[in-house]
This record gives sequence, C-alpha cells and structure tokens, in this order.
Amino acid sequence: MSDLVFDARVAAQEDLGSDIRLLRLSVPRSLEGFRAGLFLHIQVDPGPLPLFRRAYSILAAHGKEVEVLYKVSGAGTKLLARRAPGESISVVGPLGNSFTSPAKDEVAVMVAGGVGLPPVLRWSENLFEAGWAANRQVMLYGARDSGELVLRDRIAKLGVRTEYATDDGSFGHRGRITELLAREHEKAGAQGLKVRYYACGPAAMLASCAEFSKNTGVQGELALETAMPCGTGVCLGCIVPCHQGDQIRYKRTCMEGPIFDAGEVVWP
Amino acid sequence: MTNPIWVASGTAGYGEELAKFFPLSKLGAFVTKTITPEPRPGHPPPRTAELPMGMLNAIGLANVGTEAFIRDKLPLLKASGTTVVVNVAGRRIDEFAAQAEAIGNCEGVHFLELNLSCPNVKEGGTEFSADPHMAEKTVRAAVDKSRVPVIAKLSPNVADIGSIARGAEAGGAAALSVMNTLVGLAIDVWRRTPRITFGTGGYSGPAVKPVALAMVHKTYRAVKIPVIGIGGIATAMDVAEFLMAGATCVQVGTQTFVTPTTAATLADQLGPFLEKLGARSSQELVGTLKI
Repeated sequence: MSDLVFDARVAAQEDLGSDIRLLRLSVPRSLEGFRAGLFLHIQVDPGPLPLFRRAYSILAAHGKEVEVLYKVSGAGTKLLARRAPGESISVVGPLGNSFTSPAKDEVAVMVAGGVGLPPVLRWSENLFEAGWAANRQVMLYGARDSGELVLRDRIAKLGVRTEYATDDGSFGHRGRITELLAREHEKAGAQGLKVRYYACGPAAMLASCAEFSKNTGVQGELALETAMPCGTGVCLGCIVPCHQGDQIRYKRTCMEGPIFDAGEVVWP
Repeated sequence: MTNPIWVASGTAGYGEELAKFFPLSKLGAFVTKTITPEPRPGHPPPRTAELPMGMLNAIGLANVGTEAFIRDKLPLLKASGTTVVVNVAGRRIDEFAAQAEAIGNCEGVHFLELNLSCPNVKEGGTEFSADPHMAEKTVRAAVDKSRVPVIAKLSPNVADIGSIARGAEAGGAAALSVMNTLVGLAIDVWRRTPRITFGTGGYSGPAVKPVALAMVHKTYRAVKIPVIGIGGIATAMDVAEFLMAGATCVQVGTQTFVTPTTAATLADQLGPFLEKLGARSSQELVGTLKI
C-alpha cells in the first residue's frame, strides 16, 4: 500500500551503558540521505499493549539499515528493549520536518542533551553533505554524567570542534550545556558572526535554550518530544502551544514539527 | 461488493493527512472531523491519555470552521473520489440547521453526520442526544436545510439509546452512527489531577468494542434505518461482529491512530473473511446475530 508503513526486522540491539540502547533495524527500502529530525513511529511490542506506537528520531541509515537511540525508562522503552534480533517490528515513517539551513554569517551550533543526540548529530552530517565548512560548526553535547555521553567515537569522526558538559563534572564542562552555548555566542560575536543553534534533549534543556534565545535574540531550532498517539496529524494529541503574532496557536509535533523555532514555543 | 468500511470522525483529519498513505477512494466513505460554524483551537494539552486497550481524549472539537473547511479542505476530498461525509456540530439547534444549510448543499458532499454527542466541550453537546425529543428536533432542523441525507451520531452515555434512536429516526435521519466515545476519567495519582486538561474525556479503542456492539444491536432493533457501527474496530473479524449485531457499515476510529492504513487494509481483508463465513457480501451478514 504505502511505503511509509512497513515491517522492519531487529538487526541488533547494542547496549551502550547507562540504560541507553542503539537499535538497528533492517528495513525494506533504504533511507540513506534522510534529513535530520525525521522520526520513525515504532510499535514497541506486537501487542495488544501498549496501544500506540512510540516515536524515535532516526540516528543513521546505511543501505537497508536504520538506527535509533533510546534510553530504557518508561513502559514503552522497556518493551522495546526486549525485542531480540530477528524479530519483526511494525514501523510507520519516516515522518516529520527538518531543521533549516544556517545563513552565510552564522555558526551552526549543535546542542545535544542525552539521547536527544540523533537529530543533532545527523544535522551536522547533513550540513557537511551540503558543503558547509567544519570550522563553521560546533558540537555541544551534554548529559548527567560521562556514561550518558554515548557515541563519542561517531561524534569525533565528524571532525567538528566538540565541547562536552556533564551535570556531575565527570566529563567536560561541569554544568549546563546552555552555558557552553552562551560561550559560543560570545566567540562568534568576537569574529563578527552569529550563532544559529539546533537543539534536542530533555524539555528542561530546551526550555533553557529558548530562554537564552529570548534574552539574546540568538536564533535556534528545537526538536521536541511529546506524547504522540498517531504521528500522522489526525489525532491532534501531540499539540504544542506556539506564539503566532499576539495569539497562541496549537501546532502538531508530528506534522508542523518535531522541529520548532526556539522563539515560537510557549513554555509552561 | 459495496465497501462498508469508513473512517470515523475526529480520527482521520480532513483527508489530506491519510491521503499520503492510501487513496481515499479505497474507503466506503470518509467522515471528516467535526466542523463547527466558527474555528475552534481546541483544549490546551494534554488532550489525550493512553490507557490499557484504549485512549481517553478531549480535543475540544478543534477545527478550522465552516468557511475555511469549504474553501481549503473540501476540494481535496471532492477530488479523491471517495464518498464524503461531513460531520457537523453546533451549540444550539439553529446552529445545527445553519451548518446543514452551509455544508449540506455543497457540491461534493454526499452525507452530513450530526455530532449530537460530543462529550468534550464546555457548552455541553450531549443534550442533543440525551432526550428523544431534542434528538428529533435537532435532526429535523438539519434535514430541512440539507440537500444531502443526514446521519445522526449517537452517544452511548444515555439511559436508553433505543429511544434516542427512534427520536432521530422520527426527525428524518437517513442512518444512525453508533457510537460516540464513552465518558471516562483517568487520574494522575501523584498530582491528584485528571490526566487530561479538560478533566473527563471520551474513551475509545479496543476496550469499548463490547459496549459498542451492545449499543449497535439495541439500536438496530429499535429502528428501521441503517445503523453504522463504531467502537474499537481493528480487524476483519471485528467488522463481521458489527455487521452481525446489525450494522450496515462500520467506521474505523482509534485504530487509524495505531496504523494509518487500517481502514484500507480492512477493505482488502473483509471479502476473503466474509467468504470464510460463507457470505457473498457484507449485507448478507447484517443483523444475523442469533439471540
């Protein structure tokens, strides 16, 4: 019927430590060249529970394999973690929108928090594919501790200056990733450049990125996560309140998102 | 064989969303989300709660309003070649009549479905299907203004759905959709608050199927007009159950959230399943429940 609805097969479940898993799926058609931010809506268990799929941002696609990253935390991810190699998994996707390209006078700053890494890492690759220079990109990656800073080897391969932050100081800067973002803003300013950042991570991190934008006028884009029953725009359950002029308009994370302008999201 | 598989109001958007997944002409009919006279933003989040075997929702009839619907949404549905059913609601009887006049005379609309029973708006809504006389008056007001046949969608949150069904039939309804969602409540014990902003919501999904079957059967026995079965349909066997209970057609609802192609897949699977049951068409099964 539609090639957006298909059965994938578990190729591997790699334990990266700190309850973080890398799920590799064999898929019927290649998603190589995909744009950052796109997500797969995955049936974590053949059922009957849970009823709804869960959304995972695509980390990588090579040949007929795709990878997603997740942290085992709630009921859905616990079920997903039990899926063994060879098992079939129903998938809808890829779905969603992507980031917008930086302007000539901008430094692209990637801001990843924990398992929010996939769209940010992929966007860095997308920028390279589009010919964007390495010296106009910075990767900021934060987590609670060094154990949660996964896939550092892959980040190193990007060839982009990377700064790390941890809450406990076990790796890189001790403190918030937004403090690193503020530093990049100053550095770029000193060179007569502006920062445009691309962020994905916990809600508190994204809210503090938005606060930073509000205070400084720095442009940024946020990849949001919400409970998403359908993923296809029909249930209107995953809405995010957004500023539109003087008014507030609800946008769907699955259709108008998952990527939103940092200035448009109304935080609780 | 006429395809008896429709998609239910509020679970399939305006058609543009699902058209990415399958041609809408695969459906017996497409039912739009509820269109109200003016645009409605809907309730603040959270609007939905996932529950075991079901979901609770209170979206709040979020929709673009009649004018934008006719201008921006109807053309795609018209061009899709599917049978177009526009679900409408108003706050008062005269608004139902106005909706019927505005939309029930548009080219490309084949049926109206009256949402007599949305449980999720502050202005109420259920009163239109809580009393047989009110149901009759509301349906008649719409029928009088509409060129196309009018379907009445009934609420299960009533003492006797049979009497409401007879009221809607007396008002001139061409068919009855049974059922809308069940009123439910989900509680966050840590916050001691409802899990959705509106408080209560409409419960739907596989869990409500037995209730829907009972409601369909009761309605089928109460009226002469066709009944359209809705509630927890996910498989061809579910469809057959509704047909046997007395439904002429069915609407797939919450399952479209699980897999967007569900209704189209069921349309393909139903024929072979009917054969297994020894039936040549879905109509042969209607009301054949031995009870």
